[in-house]
Amino acid sequence: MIQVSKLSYIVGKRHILKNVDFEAHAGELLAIIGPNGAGKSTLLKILCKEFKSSSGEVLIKNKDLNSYSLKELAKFRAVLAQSNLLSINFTIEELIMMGRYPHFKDNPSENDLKIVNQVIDDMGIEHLKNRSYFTLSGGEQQRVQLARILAQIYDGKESILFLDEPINGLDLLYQQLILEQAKQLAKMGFCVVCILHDINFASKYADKILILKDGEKIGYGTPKETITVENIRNTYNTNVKLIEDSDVDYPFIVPISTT
Amino acid sequence: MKKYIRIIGLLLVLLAIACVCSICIGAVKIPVDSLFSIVLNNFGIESEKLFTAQQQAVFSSLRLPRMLLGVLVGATISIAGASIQGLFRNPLAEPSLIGISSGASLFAVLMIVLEARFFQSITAIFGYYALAIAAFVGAVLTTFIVYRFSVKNGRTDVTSLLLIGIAINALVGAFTGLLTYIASDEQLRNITFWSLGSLGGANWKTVSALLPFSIISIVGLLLFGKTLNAISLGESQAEHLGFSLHKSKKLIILFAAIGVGAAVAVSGIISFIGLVVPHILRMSVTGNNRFVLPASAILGACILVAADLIARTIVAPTELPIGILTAIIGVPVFLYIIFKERKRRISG
Repeated sequence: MIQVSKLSYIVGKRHILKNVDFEAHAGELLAIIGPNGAGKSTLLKILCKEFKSSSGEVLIKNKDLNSYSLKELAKFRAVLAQSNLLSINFTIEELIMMGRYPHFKDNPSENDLKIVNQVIDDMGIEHLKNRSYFTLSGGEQQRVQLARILAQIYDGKESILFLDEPINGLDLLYQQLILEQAKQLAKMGFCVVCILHDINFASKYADKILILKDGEKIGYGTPKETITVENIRNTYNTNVKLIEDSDVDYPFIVPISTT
Repeated sequence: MKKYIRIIGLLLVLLAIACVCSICIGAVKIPVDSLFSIVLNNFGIESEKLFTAQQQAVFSSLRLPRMLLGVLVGATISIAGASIQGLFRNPLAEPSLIGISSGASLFAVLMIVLEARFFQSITAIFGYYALAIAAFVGAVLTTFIVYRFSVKNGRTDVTSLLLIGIAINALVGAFTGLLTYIASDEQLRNITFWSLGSLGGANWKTVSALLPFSIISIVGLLLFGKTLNAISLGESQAEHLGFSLHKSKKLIILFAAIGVGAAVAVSGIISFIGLVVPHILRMSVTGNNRFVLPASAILGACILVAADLIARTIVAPTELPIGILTAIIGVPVFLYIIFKERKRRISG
């Protein structure tokens, strides 16, 4: 679905991204992890056409990213940005309807209304429907935003979701709710690309993990292949202990000391 | 959406009432039945004449154009205010506050005083529209300057925004002050008129000079309800929804400036209307621009017609500059918004 090859992004003399390549497929959740300043958000912005890469190629559905207009992209690709500060107060229903904006001109069609209701149902936010956005807690706001972008691509074929640190600042329950929803979407056939800071959550939910450091790819593969003591030490300058437990089917780490 | 249409209907009724009141009330009273009779006769429908020649003259050459001017100016500056606030993602971005109206009036004043050959040759080409066009150019220039300085990465820096407003307003004040030294008596009267704002200059000429600009501005801005809603999510979020903002932003500034420029050219700076009207609607109904934009135009027209009615009757036979009235209503609302913003920043 997404093929990135030899992607570089240079600002002045700084290489923000150096020859990054990876692929993301339909039905798969790809987590991108790495320390602050590794180039994760930049990579996502290039994939969203917000920044233009210095060299390399991005193919989306086997077509060059640059051949799509913003409007075309919006029909099958949705983005949950890192910070979502609204300048106007909307009701939750209105906000989620905004996700359908790429699909109607003046007034929403029957189908758009149906999808909004469906999404509200799927996300279990029926009780928030008529509340106004500013009265919600951070976790609720994030879920509603996720609902909005889900509504955007709900009926698209082979849709793509980009999530930029979707669980920042949320409590343990909401972190899992959001990621479980993301995982569920991947299982339904969406291609989900998600930037995460929490290595253990990445390991738990991702099908593939891409590790970036200083703009370079340190590792790319399944959690078992990528979450290793060496990779984490190389990436975060931290010594960790890798733990495998029979109750937990993914590798998880506990930090021990900084190197 | 149905609820919004109902409210818009209600506002239209309110506007109609304000318009009838503004035509009927004044030094020469025109009772409602006389008004009907005048209108019927004007359309060539034969009926009993319930009015005097004086009433008819007052109606057709004073009250009607003045009412229409009030409607056009009020609607235009309110919808422009609502759109500029949406574009800057900030409720304080009001054309007169951040210097757009001042920029427009500076150009208009320059034209009057420097009435140089240059102005005369422009007037020869554009006729009565020359002043409106000059004001429009001033409005566009200041809007671009303000936007450039105060918006970074899609976020409005409120401090810079208001400081630029202060700077531009001060600059315009200084220029206008300077020009009063070299202005003739008649020019002086015109300049005072620009700084206080008034509908006193209303006649069919001013109405027809404003009409095309108003319509272009209002219709143009109404097209951007969805875009402005998307911008409220954030600029990159709007692009993720498929809106290419590069073009839209310029068009919104252009349409708003056309309206503000032309309104300033015919009625001077009438402050705070563009701030208060959209804000009342956002607080009491919704922030959804698909509603706020059309409703602002109607409520703005309604409030300005009503304010003008008060301005010209409360100290009759003289007239109060309407800017004084709008400021008396507007300043408390302005302060309230600032307090509320601060509270939100502290708690959120």
